[in-house]
Amino acid sequence: MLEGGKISSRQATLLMAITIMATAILFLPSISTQQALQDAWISVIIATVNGIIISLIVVTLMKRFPKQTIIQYSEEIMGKFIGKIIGLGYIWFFLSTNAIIVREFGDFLVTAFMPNTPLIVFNSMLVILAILAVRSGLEPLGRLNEWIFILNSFILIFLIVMVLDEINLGNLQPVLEGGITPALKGAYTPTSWFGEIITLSMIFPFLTQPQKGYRIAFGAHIIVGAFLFLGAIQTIGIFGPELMSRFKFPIIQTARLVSIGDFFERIEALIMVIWVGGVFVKVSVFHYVTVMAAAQWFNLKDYRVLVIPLGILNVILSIHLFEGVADLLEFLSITFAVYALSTFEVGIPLLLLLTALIRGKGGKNDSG
Amino acid sequence: MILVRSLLAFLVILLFISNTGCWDLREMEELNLELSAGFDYDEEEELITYTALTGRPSGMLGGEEAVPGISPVTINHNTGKTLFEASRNFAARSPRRIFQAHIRNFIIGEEMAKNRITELADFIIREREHRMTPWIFVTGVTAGEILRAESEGEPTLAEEIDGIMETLLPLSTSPRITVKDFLISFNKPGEDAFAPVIKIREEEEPPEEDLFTDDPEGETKRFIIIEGTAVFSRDKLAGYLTVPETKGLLWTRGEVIRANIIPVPPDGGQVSVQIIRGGAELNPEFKDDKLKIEVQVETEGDITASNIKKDITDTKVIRELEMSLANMIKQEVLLSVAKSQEYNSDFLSFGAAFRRENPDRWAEIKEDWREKHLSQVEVEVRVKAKLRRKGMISESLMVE
Repeated sequence: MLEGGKISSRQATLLMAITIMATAILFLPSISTQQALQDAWISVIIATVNGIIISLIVVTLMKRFPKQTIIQYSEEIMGKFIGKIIGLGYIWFFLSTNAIIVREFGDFLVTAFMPNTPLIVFNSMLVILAILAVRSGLEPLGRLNEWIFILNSFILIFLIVMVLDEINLGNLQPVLEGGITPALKGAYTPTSWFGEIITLSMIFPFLTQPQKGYRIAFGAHIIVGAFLFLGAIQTIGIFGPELMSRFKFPIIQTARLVSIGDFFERIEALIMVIWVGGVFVKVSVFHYVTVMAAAQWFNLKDYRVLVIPLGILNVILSIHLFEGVADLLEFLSITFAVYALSTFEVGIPLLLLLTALIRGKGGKNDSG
Repeated sequence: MILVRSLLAFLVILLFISNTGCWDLREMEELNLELSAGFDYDEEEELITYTALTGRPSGMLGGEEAVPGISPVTINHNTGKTLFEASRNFAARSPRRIFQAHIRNFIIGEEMAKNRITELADFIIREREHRMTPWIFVTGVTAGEILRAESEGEPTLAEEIDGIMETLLPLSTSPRITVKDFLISFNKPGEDAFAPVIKIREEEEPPEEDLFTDDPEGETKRFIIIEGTAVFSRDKLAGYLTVPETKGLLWTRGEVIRANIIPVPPDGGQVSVQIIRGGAELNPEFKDDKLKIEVQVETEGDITASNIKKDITDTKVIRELEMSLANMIKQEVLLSVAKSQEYNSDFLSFGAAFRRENPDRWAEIKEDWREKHLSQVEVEVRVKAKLRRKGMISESLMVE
């Protein structure tokens, strides 16, 4: 066994929730609103339901092989050769997605807070932290995340309360002005973020209660859905869909409105707290699954030797994958969803599940 | 092991050095805070003039840091082909970096409002340091002139404008519009933006008794006053509203809400009413070939002053007063509706109301909404005015 630690189902739920939420809370409102305008909140509901459907597929697959990760059981289901190819694909998917997240992290800090600081400073700092976290294993990360989750939720709720009187629900009308299609389009990209639940398939063998797999995935999605829903209502309610869709980071604009009695204001640093805390956990989780996947693919005894090399690769990719923010945003809002959903998030898991069912591989009593 | 540990310790110490700052380090002493920004446009030369009122943070606080002889506030202007260029040209003459996150108000000159308002909106949202909370104004003269006016009660003009906006609330002679409100109306389909108007108010100073000069003339001082509304049609300044028209606008938007003293003229004498609550609702209706909208204003107030001969404890008299208050509100609303239809400017947000009512029918008319349909809308105004309390006395003091 590569990993000695175990995490409880609550820790797993929160870990998955933060993994999905960390970036979504910042980018979703404006990406969804561009398509769905005032119906972005409906998009969030649709995306959450889609996420639950995805996790139904993914978790059903996991539960057939409770002691294995997706790298291991894809070999068992599809045979050694195709299984190895799929495994390699997942390593690439985790690594590249992580590089994208690291890039988003740096880009946000450069755009919104520190325009003169080079991107690589933020990116490499974050990855160094993630390397330290992954080296200490899954269990400490799970425990640390419980605190970060509480902090993030507290700040997000606090922000909503602070701007409550600015919210004008009239901005949400008319509901479904252009029919359901815009709302469906707006749900498209967020669905791919909900699909990041696939990372659970690398952590699943290290749960104390794998039988609660569905509860973990559904719980995570409902938590994220609730926060994104509130975020969408809040930002559209304040700015109206037309103005909001022009903001890159609407939640920052929201925080900038907070002003109580002329002295309690300019609290957007709190957004930085959410962002740095949440993305740190997210990047650590992704780095962990990348390293774990690579270690299993190469049949290594210890995954730790890969932590630093893959971390360096991650930083390099994060700098060189995109030319600029426009490039990144286009990829995030258009390409990523097609690419991720059709292959690694839904396509392959579905294929694996169907093949496993047909070939009769795995099952409740299979000890792997 | 010892090697690793000492290496780690070294790294930690190295990190302490970076603690003191980063690439984006900005010391307060090296900044000039921009307090007000004004934008003017010269149509012939196609040049934008950016006027900035800046203050040195240390000078403004007073105390030890204040340097005698150097004014804490400076007014600079710069021109450029684009707004960004105009705003950045300051670097050539300012010894300190100008920090824009503390801007309190934006003032738009008339020509700017007529020609380059989209660029301005973009400039305000895009710049990282700008916020959505400052007040926004339009002026009939140039923004440069406004920013060079004197402040009467506050150390800087920016603070003076800020203060006036706070005290303006109970008057309802101007809307109170922040950048956020302005941009929302500007971007919303079926709604046009509007902003308060800032003007120059000239006042003669009485001649000073000065032994050393023989100048008998008093000095003319230029202060500012905020009064009326500037309304836009799409991305162009369409015209101005007078105070009664502005009140009509505020009634329709349900924004005459707190402690507004309204004199109501019944037959003989004057009664003043303080508005406690107010609200408005738009009820649009798509008829076969016509558009109709009902503006429903509800308001509640107290009587604060009276010099009429009638007994204001009498419910009949109260009903009469309520009627005349309602009538007055109705007239003001109709005035603003007339201006909206004259200017093709939907500052009353009728279009958005129609859109909410029936998005499909709205899609048919939205293309030439301002030019064709807005002036054809049949408007019905209904006002419910209630007078609740009568102050601390029951009957007016009256000498028979």
